[in-house]
Amino acid sequence: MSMPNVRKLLRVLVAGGVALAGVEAARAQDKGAAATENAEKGKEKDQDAKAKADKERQDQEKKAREKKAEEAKKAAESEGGGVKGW
Amino acid sequence: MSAGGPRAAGNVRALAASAWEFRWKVEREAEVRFESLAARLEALDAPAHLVELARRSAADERRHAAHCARLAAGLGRPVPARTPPPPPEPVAPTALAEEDAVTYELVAACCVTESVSVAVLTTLLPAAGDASLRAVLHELAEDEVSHARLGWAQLAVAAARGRIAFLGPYLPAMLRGSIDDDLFQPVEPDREDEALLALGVLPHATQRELFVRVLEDVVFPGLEGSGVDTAAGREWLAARRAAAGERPAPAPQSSRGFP
Repeated sequence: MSMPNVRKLLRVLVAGGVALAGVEAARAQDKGAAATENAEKGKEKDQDAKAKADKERQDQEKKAREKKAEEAKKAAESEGGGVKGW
Repeated sequence: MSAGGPRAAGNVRALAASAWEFRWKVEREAEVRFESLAARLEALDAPAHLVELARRSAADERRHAAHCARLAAGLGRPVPARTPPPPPEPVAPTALAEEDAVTYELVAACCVTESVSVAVLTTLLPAAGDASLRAVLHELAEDEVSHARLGWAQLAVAAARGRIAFLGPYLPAMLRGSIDDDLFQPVEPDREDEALLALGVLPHATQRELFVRVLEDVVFPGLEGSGVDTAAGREWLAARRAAAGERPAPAPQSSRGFP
């Protein structure tokens, strides 16, 4: 028994769907808001202290993001379902 | 015919009847789902041709259900007549905004399930035991291609609007919900009988192999092509295969996915 040509299936289903959506000419440029950075010139003696404070803040933010992502992952895994087919 | 004599043949026939009855239920649920999705797409001002495709898909599924009912009855498993189709269970997480919930449902129902269904039907076609069954399988396969495309089209539209990042973490639940609980487990020998093919049913191991191949070669690359992070889905599949004692899949060669 032969398996279907799945790469051909890829082209038929996925590319066909994309063509149906007609998004090539209408592809959105909006990639979401880019992060903005505030740059300010300070005195040289303040720069080290600021860099240290910034790193601590970034570490805390990173931990908070990781914690939030982990919570989201757990929540996602317990929600949502699939559709049974053939 | 099935090895093992009349008793084995009877078991195979019963299994096939059960499969076609299950498919009848699946098609009826799909009819209601597509009708609902058509209305929801329309309310979201989705492109008119996608709304129309959803409505046409609902009509297709109604016709498919009739075929499945006839085949089940012919194998000795008549289905209840004239009962209204049951409302399908909602599959999108309740926390999602309506636009994203519609995308979720179309990805689950079409990108995943209908794509797998197309592969199943095209595998069954050459093995069909008679011309009548072959004609039904061919008709269903043609229609399911359109149904799958609806999902891929919606995914492309959602990607163009920057609204697909939420899908990645939900892939394990989506994939888990698309299969029977025992797909990656050993089953009784009758369910692996090659004689099932002539009656339009895949042996269990073949069904599993096909599911894996479609995910790895069609669904994951297609999702990645639209920018969906499939890591969680790939991880889920690898864990299922490992639990079934299969070798791990090779790492994907390209994140773009398209050949």
